[in-house]
Amino acid sequence: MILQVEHLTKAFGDHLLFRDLTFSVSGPAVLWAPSGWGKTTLLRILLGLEQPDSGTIAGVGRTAAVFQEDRLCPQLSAVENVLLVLPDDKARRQAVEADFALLGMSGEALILPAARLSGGQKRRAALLRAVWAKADTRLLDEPFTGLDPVSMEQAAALLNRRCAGAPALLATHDRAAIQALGWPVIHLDQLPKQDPAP
Amino acid sequence: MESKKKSWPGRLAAAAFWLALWQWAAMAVGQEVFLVSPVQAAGTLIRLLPTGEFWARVAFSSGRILLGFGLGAVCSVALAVGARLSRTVELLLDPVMQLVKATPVASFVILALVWVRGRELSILISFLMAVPVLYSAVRTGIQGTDVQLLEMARVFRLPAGRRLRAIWLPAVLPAFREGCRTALGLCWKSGVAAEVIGLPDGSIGDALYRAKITLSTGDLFAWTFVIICLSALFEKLFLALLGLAVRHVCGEEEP
Repeated sequence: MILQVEHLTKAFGDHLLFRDLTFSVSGPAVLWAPSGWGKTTLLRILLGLEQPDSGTIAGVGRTAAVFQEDRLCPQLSAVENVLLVLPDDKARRQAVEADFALLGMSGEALILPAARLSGGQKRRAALLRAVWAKADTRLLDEPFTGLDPVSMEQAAALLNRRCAGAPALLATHDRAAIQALGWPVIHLDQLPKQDPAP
Repeated sequence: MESKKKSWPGRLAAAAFWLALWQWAAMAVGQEVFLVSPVQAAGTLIRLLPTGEFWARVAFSSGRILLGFGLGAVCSVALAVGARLSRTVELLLDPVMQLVKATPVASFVILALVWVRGRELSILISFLMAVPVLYSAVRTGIQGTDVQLLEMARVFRLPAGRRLRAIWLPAVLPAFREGCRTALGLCWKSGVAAEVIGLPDGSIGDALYRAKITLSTGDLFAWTFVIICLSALFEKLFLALLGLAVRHVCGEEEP
């Protein structure tokens, strides 16, 4: 599956975020741009949560996401938050717990309600939810926020194993994360402008 | 928990103070018709308790008032969901709810007597009292639902059942429980008031009315005490059940 973005334009009132944005990806890639460029808005458009002013998107299919915020159900545990998005949730519990262990979370941290987890633990739960969900395209907005360098390396390794072969866009301006992932980087602010098709 | 235990002696002392004041006032007035003493009221209650008629009246009124409350709860949840789904429904319902809230119970009772038999009056009145309170509570809960979680559910295509259990119920149940606390008290007050006006045979309201016309002030106080106890008992029971549901859905930390 190829994710194609063509001539995408978005402005909020007089403030133009991006114009005529065109790119395509068939596997994982990092979206790089300076802060305030509109990466989060672009991801929200790809998720169908916002409408572009013009342009087309194709090949997104079913999505999974790490949002800028963790967006976990506060009353559910980290594992339950992941299982919530899986159709055969009960059968996957052990495998999900194993992935949490890989990211350094086990024992009480897996039982506590998400409201009582630390920022880094919540972020890991949000990341694993996006990794485990059945999706054609994964859209990850700064998924390593709040993670220490070791956890970030572990999370990057997990993403590399799980996201290969399908479109995944990870928005970040963290150069250490980009290096850890080793994914091709799309410099959004340097993409050549293309004339819209007649 | 500790502070609750500590407050009991204080509460008992306050109750004892008011009972003593009541006893003193009754003795000062000296006429049972005007003011019975707590001892006389308790004596009347003890005389009533073993009789079948007492329990039949309790069952009659409780059953109807709680039925009205239950129907009101179901209806208000359905209407609040409808208002969430359709702006037209919301616009149509808002003035109706305001009207029902503002209309005096007595007006409803007299009007309702035209529509229903006296025996069913307290069901209708309890229903009418519960609906606007619970509708408003459920709407508050719905409006307070985390929009970001709803977006998450949309992105991950969560099935309706999971959305309900993981997102909607944790937001709505605490508000609904608070609404129930208010609505149950209202239902008891207005339900018995409706019985006093409609006079259905075998109701608590009928007993109150009989106490009034026979100047049996002891009976009046005893039945009033019974109404207060029933209202408090059902409120505690219902809220405990809802509390269990809230804890089950929301986990150990209630929002």
